[in-house]
Order: sequence, then structure tokens, then C-alpha cells
Amino acid sequence: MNRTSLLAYLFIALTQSIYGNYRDTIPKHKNPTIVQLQYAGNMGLVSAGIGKSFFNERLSACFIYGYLPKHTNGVTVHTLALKTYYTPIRKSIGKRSSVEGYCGASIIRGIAKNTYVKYPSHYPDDYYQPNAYHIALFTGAKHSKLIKNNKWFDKVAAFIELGTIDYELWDGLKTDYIDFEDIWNVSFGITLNFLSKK
Amino acid sequence: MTKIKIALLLFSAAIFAGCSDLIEYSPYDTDITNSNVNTANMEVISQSNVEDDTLRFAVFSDTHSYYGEFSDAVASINRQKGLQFVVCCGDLTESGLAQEFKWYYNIARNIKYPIITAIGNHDYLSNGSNIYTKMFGPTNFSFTNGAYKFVVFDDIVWENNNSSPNFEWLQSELSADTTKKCILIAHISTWSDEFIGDNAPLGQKYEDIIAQNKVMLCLHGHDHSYKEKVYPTHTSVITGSVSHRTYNIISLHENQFTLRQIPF
Repeated sequence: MNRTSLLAYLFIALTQSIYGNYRDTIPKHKNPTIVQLQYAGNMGLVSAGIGKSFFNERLSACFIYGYLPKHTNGVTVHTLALKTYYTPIRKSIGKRSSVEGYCGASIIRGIAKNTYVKYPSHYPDDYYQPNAYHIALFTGAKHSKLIKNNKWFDKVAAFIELGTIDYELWDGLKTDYIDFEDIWNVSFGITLNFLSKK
Repeated sequence: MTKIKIALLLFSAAIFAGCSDLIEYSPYDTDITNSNVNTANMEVISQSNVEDDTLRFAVFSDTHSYYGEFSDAVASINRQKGLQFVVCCGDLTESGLAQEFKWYYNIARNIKYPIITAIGNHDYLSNGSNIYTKMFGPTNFSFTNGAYKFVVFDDIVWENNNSSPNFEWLQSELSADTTKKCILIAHISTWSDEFIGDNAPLGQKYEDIIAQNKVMLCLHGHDHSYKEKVYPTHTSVITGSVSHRTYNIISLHENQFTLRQIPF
């Protein structure tokens, strides 16, 4: 499977899951607390976060810490992020599982060398734009499953996301010399819903 | 059924892992596959011979994220005949990010002549200096062609912790071989912003080193428009910027140089 066909497959699968006419019959908890673990997606090699879902689990927000260790590619990067996403559709599969489609945006704060919110005083005013923040956009698909008899969690989900980030999207849109497929990335992860009263 | 699901999951993960360029850990990552591009090209340049007495090369600067303009510059350079090599005087990125370095290289590799790329102040942002070193090699280096020695100098101050460039290395390189005429290539000129004001003493030291050695020509970028300053011992030129759709062709003949501005 080449890169272009993989991206096309992901795009179609994710948009179909978002815009398809599905019904949700899985029972929901009110504003569950969620934790997530993620691989890649401009949040570090791995990242972990905690957040809440609202409005019958349609809207979710997570605070995330990500870590890229030096042994991966030679530099250490810490990442703090606020990830928000909207889940417009959810298809029930039997009584205990569902497939969800969602889209969202993250604000990413990178902590790395020569990365600033406010530049040191030796720079003239407004010499550079702050380079510590980026905005990432993504669409994702998630397979959720209710779990029984667990002391801590009552739902587990695996997700895959197709994303882009502000400067790649901007440069990709403004010029023909960057391949459209160059601006996309893929990430994976799991989420867990803490046990809560119905 | 569960085993089938696990197998499918592992199969999907293997496919994605195979498409490693779809995996992005951080905008500040230094994930680069090309290495030592300058080092390899320097060997080619040093082994090539000038066909007549005149050495000709093209020089441009500040491509930043002007990828369309840069592609046009590459097409124009490729139409030039008789060049020995091409020089980029730095600022090949906007924010020193790995993807920007890759996009620069994807266009620059279409140049039919060997290309030498100097580091610029923008290329120092984020982990850009690490990426530059991985992709191109050391930030200070030199190479020779015929009667000329080209000294490529990393003279970034503010973005390098507001610290002094390695003037000891520069002095050593410029004075090492008195039989060759030196051309200095560095992103920031001694008369640009990073060497005035509080850093004026650094600028003066920089100028003194250049004046005391056999430098005939200094080539810089940074200011985005062509400027020239003639000193008693040498000439300092801020070359054409790709963003302003101009590059230069320089011809060296004995102690003389001629410079043409090429709009594209």
C-alpha cells in the first residue's frame, strides 16, 4: 500500500465515519473523566493526558503531557497540549461497543531549545513570532468497548487519527511545490473512561 | 474472533510503521535522513577543475518558505552554463523545523551543480542547528577550488545564545594557506543587525580578522536585498534573495571578481 492510497483510504474511512448516518444505543455516563495514551501526532513519542467528556460524550477535552526522548532522534522535547474534539457520530455495534468518528484541534506548547513564548531581551522587539505554540488539526476514528467488573474503568477505546499542523498546512496550501500528502501525519492511542455513576 | 482482531491491529500497525514519514513526534524533532550533504559536495567541488582561468558560481540566500520562488531559481540556475557550484548563504527555513529543512532539500537537490549551504539565523531556531549539522555537516567549514579557498563561517550571534562566533577558527582558516585567495561565505555581514549596537565590538573584531587576511570577497544574505560595501582590503556583498526573485553569478579571475544580478 503506497502512501497516497493509504492517506486516501484513511481520509475516506474517517470522513465516512463522521458524516455517516449512524445511531448510538450505548448507555452514557454524565461527563466521564477520561485518560488517554497516544503515540506520535506531534505530541511526543508518547503522550498521556486526562480530561472530561461533555454533552453525552460529544465534546471532549484533555490536558496532555508528551515526551520525546533524546535517544529517538537526538533531541529531548517536552510537550504540553490541550486537545479538544467533537464526536458528531457514534455507531453502536451490539450492546457493548461502538465506532465513533470525531474531529478536533490541539494547542501544542513545545519545550525545546531556542523555542520561546517570549524571546530573550537581546532580540529586538517583534523580531520573531513566538515559536513555542502550534495548532494541530485532526480527524479520528475510535472503537470503544464497555468493560465489566473493573475497579477503575468502565470503557476502553482504541483510536487512530489523521492530522496536520499549522505551518505544514499553511505551507502546503500556499505552494504547489509541497506534496499534499506531505502535510499529514498519523497517530494512534487508547482512551479509558473512569468508572462513574450512570 | 479476538485473535483475528489482534492480527488485524498488528497488521495495521506494521503498515503504518512502514510509512515512517507519516509518523511525526514533534514539530521540534530532528528526524532527518539525508546526512553530510555539504561534505559530499565539497569533495566534488574540490576535485573539479576550472575549464578556463575563470571560476564561476551562483549564489543566493534566504529561501525561507518561498518554495515556488526557490523552484523558479533552481530552474534558472540550471539554465546557466559553466558554473562550478552553487552557494546558499543561509536562512533556508523560516523556523528551523525538520520539515522545512526537508522541503528545502527536496528542491535544492534538483540543482544540477553541487550546492553548498551555509547556516542562517532562522535555521538556528528550535532545534534547527542540530538538524543543520545532521543534514549538512559542521557549521564552520572550508573547501578549495583552483586558486581559491572558500571559508564558510557560522556567524550567528543572537540565536546562538547571544555568544561570539568562533573567531579563532575563522582566523586559523583564513591564515592557514597564504597561497590561495579567500572568499568568505557567512549569513550575516559585519554591517548587519547582529553586529551593531551592543554587539558592535564583535562586529569590529570580525572586520579586523577579515581585513588582516587575504580575503578578497565576502558573501552574505540576511538583509533580503542586494547591497555592496567596498573596504580598502575587500568587498562585502549581501547577495540576492530568493524572496526578491534574484540570485547572483560571481566570476573569479585572479584577484578580480565580477558579479551579475540575475532576476528570475
